[in-house]
Amino acid sequence: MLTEILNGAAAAVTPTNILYCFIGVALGTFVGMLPGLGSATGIALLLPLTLGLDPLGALIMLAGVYYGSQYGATISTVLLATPGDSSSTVVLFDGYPMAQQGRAGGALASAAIASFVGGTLSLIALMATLPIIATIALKFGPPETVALAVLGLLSIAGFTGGNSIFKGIAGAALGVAIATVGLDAQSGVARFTGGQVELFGGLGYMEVILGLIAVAEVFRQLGRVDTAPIKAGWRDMTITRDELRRTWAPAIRGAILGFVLGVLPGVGATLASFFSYDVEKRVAGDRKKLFGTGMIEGIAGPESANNAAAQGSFAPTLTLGIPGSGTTAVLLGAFLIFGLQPGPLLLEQQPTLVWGLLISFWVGNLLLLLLNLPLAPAFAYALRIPHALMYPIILFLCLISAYAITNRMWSVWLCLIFGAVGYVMDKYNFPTVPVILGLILGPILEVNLSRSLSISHGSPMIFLTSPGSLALLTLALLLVVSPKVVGKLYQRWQAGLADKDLTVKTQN
Amino acid sequence: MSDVRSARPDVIAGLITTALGVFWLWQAGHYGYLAEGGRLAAGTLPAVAGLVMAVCGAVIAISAVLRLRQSTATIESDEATLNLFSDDDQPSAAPSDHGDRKALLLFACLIVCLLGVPLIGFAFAFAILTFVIVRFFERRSLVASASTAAGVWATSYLLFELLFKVPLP
Repeated sequence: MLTEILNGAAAAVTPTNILYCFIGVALGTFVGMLPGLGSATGIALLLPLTLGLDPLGALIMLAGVYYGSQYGATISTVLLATPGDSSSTVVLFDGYPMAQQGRAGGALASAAIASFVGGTLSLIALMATLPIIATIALKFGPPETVALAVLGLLSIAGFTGGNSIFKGIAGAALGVAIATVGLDAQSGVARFTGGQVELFGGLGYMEVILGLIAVAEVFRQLGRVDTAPIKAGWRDMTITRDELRRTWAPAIRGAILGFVLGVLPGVGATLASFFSYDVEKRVAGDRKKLFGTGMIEGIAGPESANNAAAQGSFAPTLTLGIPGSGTTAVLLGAFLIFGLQPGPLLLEQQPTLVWGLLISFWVGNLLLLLLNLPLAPAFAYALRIPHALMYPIILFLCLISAYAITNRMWSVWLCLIFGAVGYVMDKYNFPTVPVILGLILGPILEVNLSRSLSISHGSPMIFLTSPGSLALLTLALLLVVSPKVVGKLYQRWQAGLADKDLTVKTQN
Repeated sequence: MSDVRSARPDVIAGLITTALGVFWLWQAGHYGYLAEGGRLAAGTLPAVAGLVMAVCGAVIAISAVLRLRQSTATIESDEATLNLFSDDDQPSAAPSDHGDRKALLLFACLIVCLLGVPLIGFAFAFAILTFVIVRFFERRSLVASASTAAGVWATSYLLFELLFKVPLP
């Protein structure tokens, strides 16, 4: 294994791949900064441009876009009070107040350092756990793979469905339904094609993803009012000794929490950052009251957690082929486009690619730190570009990227149609991430469902009699109900704490 | 009040989801629901997906109707109290209507642009679209509109055609 890691490292640190990493991180920071775009949109936009590169180089660039955009989102959160990505929402509580007090630089510097710590610790954990998960996953047969796909779909539906998990499940089912359009690989029957030749090959992942995420977002952001960002100069990008001292412990706690949550399919960086904020408040003791007024711990912990979760989400993606988050669902599409099948065999068949990708995470995190510590104010100038000029360019990039995938106008039309679908879904509060996941997991689900039923001579009981499958389906059920249960328990606990506070105040 | 606001769209969304699910389930029957010996047919997974959508859609619609009934009953009793103390307010226009109209108009412009691509080429079509959006949608100056349109044209040609060698129509 050490040889494989060293080979991967050698592949990752070539000048070309470092350049790709740099481009990915820089573009990711820029894209993440633009409110509303987010990491998934950034990857969807840039993926068609990487089609001409070798798979490792392309994936290094796209992964760079992912964690680069996490930090870029922090810049717009701190300076504009508008989270560039949902995972940076919690940084608003203390980051923006710090910026208002003239400490934007300290906030951004602490976020950059904490992100680096989170990324580094998470990477060590990822490298340690990846072979273990892959070894377990190698024992999975078709019934376990079906159960795993169901787990992935239900957990994403559960965590993104908001107030209605049924909307999330309906979205996942829509994704699976869309995945069945085209020629059935097993029987050769043309399904839902209406005789149209363009549909025989099915609906392309990237066109659907670009439409649902990027184009729909442009429609959604129409009419957004520009706000002036708080100015942060180069001289402001200094962090005081006290702020640095108060950054380390939350960053380490955030890294542990972020990685553990990131590994769970569906949880993602957003929840990890919120949990981390909560943890920091709890360990702060009496200083808990100061959270929301500009506490550095309220930035360092969540930033570390969201970067750690972003990397942790690669664990189920690479070893099981189940995306850990919406963004890794888009990245999974990238793997498939390059002819790579994420899953337990990926580590065995493509060790240089996998280890090279992981090593590049650290390189990318280092570049992010070196780039953003001095240059965040420069990046922040982009926030001054009026949205009215920005969105037509983004729309154009989405559609030309869709064209570049197949060099056919059909892809552009598809992208536009799904842009409209995504907009309508958003109006009715249907999450789009489960659709993407259903689209990607649908073929895997169908192939393994067919194999499972062949093994069991048509009996669906195989999914309950196989211990691995039963365990995964039970976990899927738990993940579906847990957001509601956890939410209710949390509310009761908060209410209990509030009553306790009231009692103490009354007694005093 | 927010329950009422979210309930009505949910009824519509639920019904659409149910209709889509039923259509998918019905169409899947043309490919066969199950093969011999209980094995997978071409229509099995589409049927399962359709069934799940139909059931979820029905649940969403029914729960929205129940919320609507509950909220209406609550509002009626609250209004009886409120009317004693306040003047009637004109309901404000839904803030999303303007956004929806703009989105619809932009969508229409995009369709026209894509239809124009075979005639005037990708780069020009999108340059014109960009000019129209910036000048007439966003009411920016002629200079800003022309510059942004020129930027789009330059990106198409220099970046995609020359650098990435994407053969644009």
